[in-house]
Amino acid sequence: MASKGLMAASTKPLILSILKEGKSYGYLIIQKVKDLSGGILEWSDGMLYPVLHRLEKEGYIESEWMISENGRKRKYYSITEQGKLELIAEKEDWLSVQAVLVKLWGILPTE
Amino acid sequence: MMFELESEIQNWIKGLRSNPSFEDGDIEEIEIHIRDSIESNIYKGSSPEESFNNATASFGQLDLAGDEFIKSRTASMKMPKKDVLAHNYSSPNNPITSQLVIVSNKVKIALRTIRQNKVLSFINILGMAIGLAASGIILTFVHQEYNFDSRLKGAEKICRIIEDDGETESVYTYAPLAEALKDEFPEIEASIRLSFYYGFLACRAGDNSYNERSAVFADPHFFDFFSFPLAYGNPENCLPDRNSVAISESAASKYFGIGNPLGSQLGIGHGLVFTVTAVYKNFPVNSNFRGDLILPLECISDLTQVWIEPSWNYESDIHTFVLLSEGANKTTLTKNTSQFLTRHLDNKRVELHFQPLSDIHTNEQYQWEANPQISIRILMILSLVAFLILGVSSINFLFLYIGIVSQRTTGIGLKKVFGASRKILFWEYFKEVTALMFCSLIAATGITSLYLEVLVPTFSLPDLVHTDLSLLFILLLILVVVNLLAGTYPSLILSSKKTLSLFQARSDAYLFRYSALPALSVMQFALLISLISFNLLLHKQTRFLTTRDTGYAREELITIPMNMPLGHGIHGEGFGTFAQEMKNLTAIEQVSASFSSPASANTNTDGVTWKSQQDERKLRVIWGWESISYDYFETLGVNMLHGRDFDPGFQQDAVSWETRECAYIINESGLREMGMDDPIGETFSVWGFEGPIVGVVEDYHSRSMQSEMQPMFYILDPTFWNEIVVRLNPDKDVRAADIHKVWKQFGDDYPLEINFVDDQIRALYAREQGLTKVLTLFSLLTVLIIGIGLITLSVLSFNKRKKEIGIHKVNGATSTEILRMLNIQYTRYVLLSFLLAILPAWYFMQRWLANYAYKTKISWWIFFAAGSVTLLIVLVTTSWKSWQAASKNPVESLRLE
Repeated sequence: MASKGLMAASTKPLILSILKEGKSYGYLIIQKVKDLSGGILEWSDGMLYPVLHRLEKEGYIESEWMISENGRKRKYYSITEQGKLELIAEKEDWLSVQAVLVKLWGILPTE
Repeated sequence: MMFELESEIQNWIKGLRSNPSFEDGDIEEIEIHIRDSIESNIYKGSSPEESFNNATASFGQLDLAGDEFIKSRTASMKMPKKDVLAHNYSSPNNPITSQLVIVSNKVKIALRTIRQNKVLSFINILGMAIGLAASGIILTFVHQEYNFDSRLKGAEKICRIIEDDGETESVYTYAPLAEALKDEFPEIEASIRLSFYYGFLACRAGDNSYNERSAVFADPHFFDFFSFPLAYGNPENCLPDRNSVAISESAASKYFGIGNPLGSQLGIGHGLVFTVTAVYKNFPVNSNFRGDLILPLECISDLTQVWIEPSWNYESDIHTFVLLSEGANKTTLTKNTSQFLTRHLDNKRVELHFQPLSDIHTNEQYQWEANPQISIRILMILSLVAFLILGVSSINFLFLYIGIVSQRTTGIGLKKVFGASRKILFWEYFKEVTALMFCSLIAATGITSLYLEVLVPTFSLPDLVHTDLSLLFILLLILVVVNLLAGTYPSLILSSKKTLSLFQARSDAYLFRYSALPALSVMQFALLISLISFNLLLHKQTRFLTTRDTGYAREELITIPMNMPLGHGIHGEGFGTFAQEMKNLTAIEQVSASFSSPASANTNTDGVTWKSQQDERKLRVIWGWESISYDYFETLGVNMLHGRDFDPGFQQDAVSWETRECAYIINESGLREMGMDDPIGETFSVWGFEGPIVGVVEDYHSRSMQSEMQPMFYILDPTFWNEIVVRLNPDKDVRAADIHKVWKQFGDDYPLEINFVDDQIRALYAREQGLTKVLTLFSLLTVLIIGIGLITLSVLSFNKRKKEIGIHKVNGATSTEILRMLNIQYTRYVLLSFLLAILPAWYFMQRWLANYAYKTKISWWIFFAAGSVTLLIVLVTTSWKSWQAASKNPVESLRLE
């Protein structure tokens, strides 16, 4: 399982990436993260919402209350244009970090 | 035990709610999340209990999550400043928006505190709102009464002329005065003459015919002088000739339907046709002017019995208004005009006073006033009541708020431990109080519109059209003061206390000097008792006035306006035949005519004398008079005491304008005034008409019983007939259609109107009934506000006494016994306030009744009823909290000891 600091740092690109696929609500977003990471990134559900709220406040995502097909009221989140730009920036950051690490560690096993 | 999924979810949500980290929106979102999570667990095959546990476990610890929620909310405030320029103004990073977030958070916190004390806060808001609305409405009404016609252009420079001949100050003026003043005095820029007419004018337009009851006869430039808005027409020349008429919008739609009626023809009186030359917006309620017609002054004698004397010989029923120039001095004008008047009036000394337009409605000192007025005394009482209501509700608001605060001293203690200063505490309370006050303000607005939209039309209460910002400002100022007081008091008291004491359960005692409470409640109860007893007395007196025997057969009488001029239809010679035809109807017993309805005669004169009268002063005695037809007293069912009624067999009975002779009948009071044993045959004289007294009739009430029975004389002169008085046979049904058939034969197309004398008598006491209505409303409001105050008191003393009650219970007292013990205390208060209230209340009731010549008794039961009602209200409102206290488990109140 990933460390707490890493997890905290990774939530932003994770959520933005998921929302880039289309609008979604809290429970579904968490399920997706769990499915994708295969248990490597295990958040407590309660921690997700503050992150969503913060992202919303920062203007990267926006939300609206909608009635879902089963008649339940749900708060749907979707990514904003600003969020998409932010995701590109994040992606560059993470990829450059990864490239450095791969370069650093990649030598050992192969050689 | 069965696992109850739904109730478990509810419990878990409750846990969220009690955690201040979560806001309403968060909680809603989390609840949906948990339900989704549980459902998907169940879908995967877990039991409800497992699913619930899984879902809550994976949600994580509430405290940790709560911290994150708080952080996410405050995050934006800590955003680095460097980004500011890069974002547009809707961005949350903007400092302005951040400020808004802070403010909205504070509002949220304040609202949450209110919600935590739902019932008490609601009561508090309601009480203040009622007080605010009531006092606002009353004060606006009073203000409106003081500002009649003040919205007219140049209103502050418009004055009415009062003529003062040294003995009476009268609004009647000489006809040439207006013109002469304007010509001779540069300070007088314009002048106008008006005559208010409240008789009947039969009006016709096509098939629409009605009796108009009020009209203004005026000089042609009426709308130029008084800037009432016109719907159609030209204000400078609204009455171009003697055949033109200005009508109100409501009259326009009544006679001509929709559309522009300018140029339409309106028939008035007998065969006169007027052309509509202007349509004005209906006069507002805060105006001295009323009525739907404005007619040229020069045609007043064509349409009515009013005579305008064109010379300086004597005054007529004319009000003269002038427009003073800027800076004109009224005192100097009075001095200058009196010299100028002496010239015109053959050295008769008359002074002119200049009465401001806004003064007309409230100044009752002048003679021959035409329009309804309101006495300043009533306005003062109303203002007093308004401030009383506002005061009581503000005090209640303060105390109830302190009551609420005193329930959470522990929290305040904690804040002090963490270093909260007096300033911080003050802001804390100030915010809360402001939120409460704001809610009250909104509720008060709601109540006010309820009054205007529902209560005004339903109970015909006074409408409010005069709004004034300065009044609103004063009310808001009072609010701010109460607000500051309520915010300051607890913070001052609490911050001066030792922090430790705030944690002690007794801490509430520090908040408030309880010795003040009984005094306060006794005062309020006394106020309530006085109000209720006065209210009861008003009802009793109004009932007494409206049902008291008037001395004639009031239930069997109807009146029909004789709305045609003399010599036409049934007015004059034709009346005898008409009366005969009417009497042929089985339901009609007797028919006669008179100047005014027997319910409301208000014709007075002085200058009455008789042969053996030596005393000059007697000439000034005011007599009532009435011009009647044959059989009048028989119609009324009043008996002759001496002599006889007017009789067609005696030719000299009727007034003769050639010889200036006529016969007189006087009433019992008149006989007393004359002080004679046998007045029959005595020569009686008034207005230059002389003749013998032929009969004495018994006294009966032909005017409001506010006034003493008056000496009266009766003459027989068809010129002064306005009303047909008809006595019905109570055993037979009268059909309007039958009367109409007879009427048609004589009255061609004059509208027929049937009025019941009994209704007219009731209308005489409209003022009393209006006052009763208003006072009933106030009493109910006061009951409400004082009820709220009582709840305040019981909450405060509940906090103080709950331990005492706990000890009583531990020692074996039952809840009922405790309740009785608590109620005995309140009963004592009520008893004390009863004793305090009864004397002043009795005094004021006595004073009020002194206005009436005929009055009901102040019965003991009035006070008894008022006391009982108060006691009932007190016990009902206090028992709510007392019962809560008494039925509580003593462990709860004592466990902290």
